[in-house]
Amino acid sequence: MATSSEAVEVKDPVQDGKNKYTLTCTLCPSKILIPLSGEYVKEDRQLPKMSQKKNSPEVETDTIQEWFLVDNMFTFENVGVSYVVDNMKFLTCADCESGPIGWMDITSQKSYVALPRVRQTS
Amino acid sequence: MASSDEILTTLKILIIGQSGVGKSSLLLRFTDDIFDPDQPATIGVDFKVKTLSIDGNLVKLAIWDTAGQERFRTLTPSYYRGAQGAILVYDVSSRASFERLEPWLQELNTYATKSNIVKMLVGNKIDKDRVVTREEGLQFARRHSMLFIEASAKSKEGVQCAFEELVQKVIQTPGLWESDNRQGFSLQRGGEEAASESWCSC
Repeated sequence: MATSSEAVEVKDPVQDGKNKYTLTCTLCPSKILIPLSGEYVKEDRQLPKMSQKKNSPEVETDTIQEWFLVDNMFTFENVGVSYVVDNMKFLTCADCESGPIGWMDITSQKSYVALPRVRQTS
Repeated sequence: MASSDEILTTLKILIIGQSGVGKSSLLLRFTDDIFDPDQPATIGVDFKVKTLSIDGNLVKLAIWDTAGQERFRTLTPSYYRGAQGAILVYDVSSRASFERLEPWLQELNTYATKSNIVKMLVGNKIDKDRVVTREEGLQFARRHSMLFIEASAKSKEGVQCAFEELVQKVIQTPGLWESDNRQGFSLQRGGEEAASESWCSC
């Protein structure tokens, strides 16, 4: 099971303030964003882990520091959006539905893709 | 690889049908499940954005599933608003799900804002014991001018085909969609041939 720490290391994921590479799912080949389509933002925020322990009473989270901000849903190549949970929606892979790979602000409709939760491919 | 600025159009596609007919699993899943089904952290998917290549044109789909909202039985008209395509799903192993198609179709016809919305009937779960024959599905589809295929989300059989078929039909319907690009583009129109292709062969 992939976790955030196993994501492919890329020296510089950013070019002109945007994602330099194509972003894909870490578990399947599904393409999420094409290069230069998400704005790089730094902000510490908790995101539930992609793999949760069975029968765990609490949702385990990771602190994510780097995100790619997407204003318009149709900027995505492929993405799934969950129902509202705790005032936000979660982003998933559209094909294998693994996630969360990010979250969506339901007020501003802006989406944030967690850099460590996606694979960067050239 | 094509980039987003070559996207021909963006379409809103709805998936409609009774609970348990496998609508969610038809929500364009092309890859196999990797996840342990015992995983507790499962939150339903509200909608998906998918990019498909149809006849050499890239089309972006916003695919909405009724799951969740159907608990309230009447979907909000906004769910239907602006949709260019609708996929009505029943389970070939459930007579009740087939009989529920009529009211779903009525609701769709009431709220769809585009009069020429393309409708497709999908008989799902053909890997299970069938109680609704293919002929019955076909007749229902013909009576309501719908495309028709049978599918199994489990084997992925027919699923991708259903979407491609539907999108092809939408693109062939004048006035139903708008180009995302302002420039012109060429579309392969099949004319008569395209019309006869409206029954999926896979």
